[in-house]
Amino acid sequence: VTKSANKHDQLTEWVHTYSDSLYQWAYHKTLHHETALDLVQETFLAATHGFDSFRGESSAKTWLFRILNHKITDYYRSSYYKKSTLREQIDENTGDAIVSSMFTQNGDWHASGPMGHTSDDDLSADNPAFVALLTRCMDDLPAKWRQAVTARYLTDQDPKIICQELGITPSNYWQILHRAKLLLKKCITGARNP
Amino acid sequence: MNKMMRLLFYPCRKATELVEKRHLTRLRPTESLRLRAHVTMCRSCARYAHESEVFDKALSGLTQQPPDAPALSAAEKNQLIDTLKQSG
Repeated sequence: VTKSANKHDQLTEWVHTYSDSLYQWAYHKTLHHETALDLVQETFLAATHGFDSFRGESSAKTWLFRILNHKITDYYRSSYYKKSTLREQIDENTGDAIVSSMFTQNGDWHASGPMGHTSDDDLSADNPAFVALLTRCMDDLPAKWRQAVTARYLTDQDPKIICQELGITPSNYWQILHRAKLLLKKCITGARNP
Repeated sequence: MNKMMRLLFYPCRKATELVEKRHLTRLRPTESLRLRAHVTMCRSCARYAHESEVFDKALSGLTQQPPDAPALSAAEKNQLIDTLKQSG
């Protein structure tokens, strides 16, 4: 058995054993199927190229997750990530403009704004239709805002690291959360009351 | 909100921003008081605070349990394996 065949057998086995949990983690971090799939592929490609440097000091799982976490960080820093906001998502300036349009100059809710009209029965984390709608609305957020929202639920990240990754200050952080929630509110109410 | 109330209370935009700040960090005592006063009087902002919590709950559920696609399909795995073989 050649060394290269060995390597491929090992990687194939790792794909079968770990790709689901790697994918779940990547999805959890990005809330986006194709991005998560790409990140998993990049992780295994890096593992293929760096195979000789894996000495079994840590488990293969730990090693692969470490690579994946680097890839996730790279992804959020990359220009691809910044450009990828173009497809369906709106950019931050547009997001700011929409948020401003929800308030008067004095900072009160616009009377014509999307207020009320949602029933409490529908608006529940236990309602699958609501959760599905919320997920769709998340996809429309500027990518950085979406990341700011999702980063909070990740157990391994303290707010300092989230701010570093996003290149923002703590006060930026809750301002972004605020704007993101306002867009979600508008998106959800708009979908319900067309 | 009318003019006099505006002197006493935050505008809605500021109040709802503080709702988010409160999730992340301790508010200053004055912020906390003024926010509570605002939300007590302002149904729209109370509504925002409620919705914000529902969003958080729903999204935290999502991140813990990916919907629909918790795993890669067999086809996606095989394609991944092929890609790795081609890459050397």
